[in-house]
Amino acid sequence: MKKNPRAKSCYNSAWISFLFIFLSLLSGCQKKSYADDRSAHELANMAISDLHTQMLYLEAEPDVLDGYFQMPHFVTDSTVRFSADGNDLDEFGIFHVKDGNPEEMATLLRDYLSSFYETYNANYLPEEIPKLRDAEVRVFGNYVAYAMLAEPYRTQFFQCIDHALQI
Amino acid sequence: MKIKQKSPFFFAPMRTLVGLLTLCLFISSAHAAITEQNGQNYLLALSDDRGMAYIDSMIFFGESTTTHLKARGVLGGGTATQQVWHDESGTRTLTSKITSELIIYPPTGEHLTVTEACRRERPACLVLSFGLNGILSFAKDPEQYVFCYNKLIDAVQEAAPDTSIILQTVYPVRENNVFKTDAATLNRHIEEINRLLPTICATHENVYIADTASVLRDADGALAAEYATEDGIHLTAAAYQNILYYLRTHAKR
Repeated sequence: MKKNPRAKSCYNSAWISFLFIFLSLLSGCQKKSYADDRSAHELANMAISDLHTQMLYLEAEPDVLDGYFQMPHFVTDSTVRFSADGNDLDEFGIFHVKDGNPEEMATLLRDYLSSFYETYNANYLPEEIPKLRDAEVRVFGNYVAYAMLAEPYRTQFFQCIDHALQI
Repeated sequence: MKIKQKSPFFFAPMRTLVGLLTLCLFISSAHAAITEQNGQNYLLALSDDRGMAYIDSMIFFGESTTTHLKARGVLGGGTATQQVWHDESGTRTLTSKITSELIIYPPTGEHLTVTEACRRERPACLVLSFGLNGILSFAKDPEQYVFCYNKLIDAVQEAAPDTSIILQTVYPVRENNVFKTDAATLNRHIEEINRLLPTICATHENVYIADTASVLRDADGALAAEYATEDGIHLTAAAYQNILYYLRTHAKR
């Protein structure tokens, strides 16, 4: 029996399409790669610039969180910024850690945010509570960032860090 | 043989005397616990009245109960006084962020850290008052209170080495809606925190304790009704006048 050339052509086209779709999906599932050489200070400045707010952010002293945790030895660079306005709890931090330690850093930061939220007197600045409640920590390769910001600024902040570090 | 028995009236006064002696010992040891560390007494003792000129040399920094010194107009300059350091929120919690957070420096309106402000101002005396905000957290983790207070004092002393520092005992409270815990428990926690003050003083020079909370308590150890505002936490002008009088009459030598 002679093979139908038309059927064979359709079969090949379907197979190629399937491969194309499969490979596209596969590339989408691959882990993102992040740079490892950006300064936390530089990233924070970019994020502030990106947020387009009137908020004045100041850099905290290096030991600002030492009441919550001892800065681990694997942190090589960090910055914490917070709002200059005492009526505003806006705060974010960016930490660069050595390979293998981002999740440990993320845990420390989540514990800090949780502790801050639990101990904050809700009668002071109640409108700021959602920022504490919804504060988030995310990992970008060897960078760990937290944000205590209202939406959409929180999402914008993390998107900025993600874009700045992705390679 | 008749056994001579002591009159029962002999024992009653003896028991009372023993009881009183025991009570005195207890009170003095409790007082010592709140003021002493390693046998050294950091409590500012009764002195002659130094008057408002002495108060005028002080800068006050603390929680909302400190900021209200300004609102009640009891200091020099009244409600425009430059002696109270605070930010827009008017309150502050003692955390490890205390040295990074900003106050509005009254002479210029600039936002400065308290360290920067001390470096500029070099006050003769800085009166600190922390412990009510975060009380439940401090009760669970008293080391956190000591750590953060030490951090603040270290920073102040580095910026202004000649500034005397007075730590006020934490003020008592009445029943309130601010805390979910009842007043009796809160006041017990407050006393526990106050007992940490000598530990803080012991690690520094020129740091003292003023038991200003003592002038605010009623017989039950709560904030006296006549000194409390409606929320059971904050203070009336009369309370602040008593506090300032205590400071005037328990001056550093």
